[in-house]
Amino acid sequence: MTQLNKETSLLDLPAELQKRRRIILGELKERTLWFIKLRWWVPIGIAIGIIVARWAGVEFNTTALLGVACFILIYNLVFYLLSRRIRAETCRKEDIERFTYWQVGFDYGTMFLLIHFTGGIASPFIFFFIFHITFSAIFLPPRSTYSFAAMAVLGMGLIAGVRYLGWIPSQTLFFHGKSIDLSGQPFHILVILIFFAGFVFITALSTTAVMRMLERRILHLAELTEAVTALNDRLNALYTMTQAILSKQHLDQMLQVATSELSRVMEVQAISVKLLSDDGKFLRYAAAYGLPPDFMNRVVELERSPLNRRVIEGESFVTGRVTQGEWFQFGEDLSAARLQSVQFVPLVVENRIIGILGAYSTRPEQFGPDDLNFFRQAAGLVAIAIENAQAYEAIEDLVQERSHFMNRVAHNLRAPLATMASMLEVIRDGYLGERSETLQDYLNRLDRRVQSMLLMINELMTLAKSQSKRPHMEYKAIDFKPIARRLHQNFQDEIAKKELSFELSIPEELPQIKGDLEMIEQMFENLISNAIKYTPKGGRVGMTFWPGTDGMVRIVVSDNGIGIPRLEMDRLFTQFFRASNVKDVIGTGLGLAIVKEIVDKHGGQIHVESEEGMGTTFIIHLPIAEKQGGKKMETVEKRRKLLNIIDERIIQTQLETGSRSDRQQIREIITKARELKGLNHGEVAALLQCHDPMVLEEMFHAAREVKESIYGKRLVLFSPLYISNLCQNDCRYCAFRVRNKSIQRRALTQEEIAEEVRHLVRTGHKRILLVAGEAYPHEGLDYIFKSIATIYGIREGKGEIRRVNVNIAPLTVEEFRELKATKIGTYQLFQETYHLPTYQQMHPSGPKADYHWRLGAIGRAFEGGIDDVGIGVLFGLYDFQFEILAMIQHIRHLEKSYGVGPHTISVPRLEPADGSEIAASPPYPVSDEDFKKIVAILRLAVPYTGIIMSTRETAKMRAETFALGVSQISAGSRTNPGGYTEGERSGAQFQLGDHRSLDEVIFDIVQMGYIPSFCTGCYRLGRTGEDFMDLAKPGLIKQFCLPNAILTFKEYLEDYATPETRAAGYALLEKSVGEIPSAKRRDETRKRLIQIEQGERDLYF
Amino acid sequence: MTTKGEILLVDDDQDLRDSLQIILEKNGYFVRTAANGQEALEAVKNKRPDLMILDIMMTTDTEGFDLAYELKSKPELKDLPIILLTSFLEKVRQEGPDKFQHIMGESWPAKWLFEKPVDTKKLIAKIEGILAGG
Repeated sequence: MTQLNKETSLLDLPAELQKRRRIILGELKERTLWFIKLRWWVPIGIAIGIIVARWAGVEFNTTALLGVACFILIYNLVFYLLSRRIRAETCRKEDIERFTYWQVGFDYGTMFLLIHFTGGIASPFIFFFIFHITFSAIFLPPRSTYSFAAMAVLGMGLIAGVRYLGWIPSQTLFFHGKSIDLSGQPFHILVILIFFAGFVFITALSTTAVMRMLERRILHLAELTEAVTALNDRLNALYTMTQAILSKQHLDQMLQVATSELSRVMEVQAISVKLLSDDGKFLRYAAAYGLPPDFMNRVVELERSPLNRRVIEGESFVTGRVTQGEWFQFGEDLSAARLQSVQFVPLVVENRIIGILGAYSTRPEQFGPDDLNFFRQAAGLVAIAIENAQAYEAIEDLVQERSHFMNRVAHNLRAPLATMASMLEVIRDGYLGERSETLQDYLNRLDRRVQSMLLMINELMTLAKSQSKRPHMEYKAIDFKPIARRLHQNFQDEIAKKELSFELSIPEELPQIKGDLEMIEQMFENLISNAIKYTPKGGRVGMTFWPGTDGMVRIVVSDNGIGIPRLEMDRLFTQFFRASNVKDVIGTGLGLAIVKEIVDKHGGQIHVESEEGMGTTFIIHLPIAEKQGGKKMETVEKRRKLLNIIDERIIQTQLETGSRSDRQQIREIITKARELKGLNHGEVAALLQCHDPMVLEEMFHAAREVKESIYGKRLVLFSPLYISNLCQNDCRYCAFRVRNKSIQRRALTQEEIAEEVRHLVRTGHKRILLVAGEAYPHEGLDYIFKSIATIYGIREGKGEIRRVNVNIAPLTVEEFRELKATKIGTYQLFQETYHLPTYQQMHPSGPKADYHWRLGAIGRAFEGGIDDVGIGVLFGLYDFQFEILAMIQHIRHLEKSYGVGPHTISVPRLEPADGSEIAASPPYPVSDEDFKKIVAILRLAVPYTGIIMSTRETAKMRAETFALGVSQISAGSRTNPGGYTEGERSGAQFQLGDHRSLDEVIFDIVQMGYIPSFCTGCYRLGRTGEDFMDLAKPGLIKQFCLPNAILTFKEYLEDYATPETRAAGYALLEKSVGEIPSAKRRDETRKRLIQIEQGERDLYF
Repeated sequence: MTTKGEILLVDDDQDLRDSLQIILEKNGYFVRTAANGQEALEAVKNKRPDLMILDIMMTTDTEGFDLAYELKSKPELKDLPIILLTSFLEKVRQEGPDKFQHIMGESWPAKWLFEKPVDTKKLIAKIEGILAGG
């Protein structure tokens, strides 16, 4: 059965309807406002008319007309001011109508004035009434339109009458002395008046008719929409039921969901499901939602219930007024419940009728043909569900039976074997007298075979048992400490016999896990007995427990035994696997298969690392149990949340929606981004989907603008320092991968690190990014801490390293706390790819294979007190659009959970690496053009987060992306441990695209007009995390960072630059000082520049 | 001949009975045997042993257990030490610990249950401990 995807979830129609209503009201508002806008042109039109008419030689009362124009201007202004209220969200239709009455009223008044001043009934303006009539027809009810028409006629009659009687002086138009004055011609006046009346009323009639028609259509549409809503609701119900069928294997639960859903969507009081007994004689209630509880125990005899029999034969039964007799025939006494309408349909599966689905309503005549149709469809689903659940239960019984059978077989096999063993013992141990040496040897061999067979039966049983454990089994909380103690005791003899050292490390505060105690013990027993078995005399076996912080406990079982041949690692966990180098040890090849089975059952993960002759390490992650009482549940809760950080569904939907954005919408998004407020997920999706070269150029332009306004012309420079390429991971794109045998492995000693750092300081570097593979020399993590201390301890000439950022494997909260204590700057960790399947494919083994352990690392770093973190994606592993959106989700999650997002984003592109085919031909290569797009979109989406470009990009690409948003770059890099002192050679993580020295890079940057910055001021003044964001957001970067960049660059020029770079640098400095916004800061900077010249160092704001 | 104690060994498997008997006797115990519950009851009635070794699964799946239950319910035999044997540990576990614990006491199953094939060294050590009053 195919699982329905949530993506296909149906539209939420009621909300949709509401939205449309809002749109209609909104349109009405729009039109009203447009009316006001239109009116601004009236006075202008009058003014232009006056000029043109004058020029053409027409004479009239100019002053009066100008007065009217002014009047219009004034009242339109009033309307304009009032219109703000109309804009408000709370405004109702009546308010808009009233507003329109006033507007049309005023317009009438001025219309009459205009007509009067331009010749009364002979005025050409009388045709303009058509506008007023049409507008009122659009905005107001028909009656009002007719009233306005009548008012127009009356008003015109009044003007004509008054003028004819001479009560007011005639105002008229003259052209070359002639006028169109009708005041003396009553017949003309009358004819025009009559035709005018006809004209306005016909207009009113036709426009209101059209409007009425439109309204009817809208109404019809609304009805249609409602019908669709209802239909949609039903479809949703069917969908919910389908989901229940797919997810709930138990009949009762499934029917509970199905009947309650049906009752809701059909608006009925009750739903019943009656199932036919196997002999076809009885009906039993399997569900009776909304019916009295005792119904569930009832049995209806089909023989005595003709109506039920008819349904069972395939008919449907529907009635709108159920009678006492019919109740009786159905065997359901429900007349007291005042039910009026009922419908019953057969439950059919593959032409077999298995029961009856019934619906009951208190309303008479509730069920129409549509309802019956829908009900039949629902019955089809319910029937399948019932079959499904029954089949599932049958399978469960079978499993049970099989397990029973297996136990019996095992016993019958074991019993004779056990007796054989005892009998053998009697002979072998000399109870029956002396044995020859040969006999003794044969007896021993026989005994070994018997023991091995017993072992195999035992393990087969365990495997069968763990496989047959039901998935929904209730697990109990398990404490590791007593288990570890027991294990130690149990194996004491064997350990002593082989003179092994057994190291057990278990922290005081170790969370419990939820599981089956017997199975967990079995798992440990198998692992430890393996470790003992395969470790030669005098070796070491260790078991270490780590409290996880991402909801997992980590358990490491290790030995320094014979190891597992590399080629056989893949088959390690398969049944009956035995490594080729274990021939002389008794074993069945089931132990590890059992371990894997148990770990899987507990929702955990197991990894193995091994080298032949060196030993084997198993790493197991098991999920922590939720503690009762709720408070300490956060670990599991957190892991669950972690699972939801990256929602692929949302990403896909938004990419689809994004692709529908038109040019105008994209432009609006770009405009918003210019305000430096960042972009939401949907907006980023729209930008990603934009391929229009013209709009893309606008996007790039905006990105340059944002970059310039926040960061100015500054570029932070740093150098990576690879201290070790030891690694236990097997990332398929990386040269450090454990399987790559072609590189030389080494971890620098503290002396070597010091030498590298001295070298870097001599070239002028102030910032280092410490990088190490995920395996440390024997000191463990202390190696990293020591290295950091070593780096900070170096002073070389006038320089030193002022900030060490760190890029190492994910740690626990506690370890992060220790890392923070070493005074690191940023902790950097790239998810590489946010796409889970790709991630799993790329990271087949090693600790890094755990996607969520990595995804949760940034959060753990925050919890460990580190507040500057860097994230990143390795572009080329998966679709970059997906990665960007996922990264935005990650960032928003961090902002929501910890109040602050990442300090930097790194954008490495997959580069060729030794020993990796993936790196040579990336699965999703990112073109240069797309890469620029990535940088630009990130700049717009998260304007205050630094973007780091690695050494991997070519100098040309760097130059283009500096402008678009990159704010930090590495320069003069080597990615092999010892690369600075010994040069580039084998052992590098990837091949470099930029081979230039720091000075060359700086010279180039200066030529482009960028100031290289070595500033570490914020970090050292504690302006990190949220504090940094506060500083950054109001645009203060320019106040602090520009002067600091200038000062650090000055130091560089003084101490390290070649003459050529120095000359170019001084020129740029002079120019840049002038760009510091505040005069005070400018002067202070100048003063400090002089201090640096005089030999002072490390000045910053 | 002085013995370290008298043991009643109950198992329907004659081969096993013979083997265990030899081993126990060579280790200094006087051993009587019984092939089913009925025989065992009679043997106990004749003379109370110092300790009993009893297979759980004989003619029926719970014969040994039923016998243990019956014996332990008699006040005079309440403290008769009974070591249970099984080659079907899984089943004993399925029966649930409570049922056995009720009559076998708190130290069930660690003290009183042995899986076949029996580790005779451990068994003898256990018997010695029990008979010494441990």
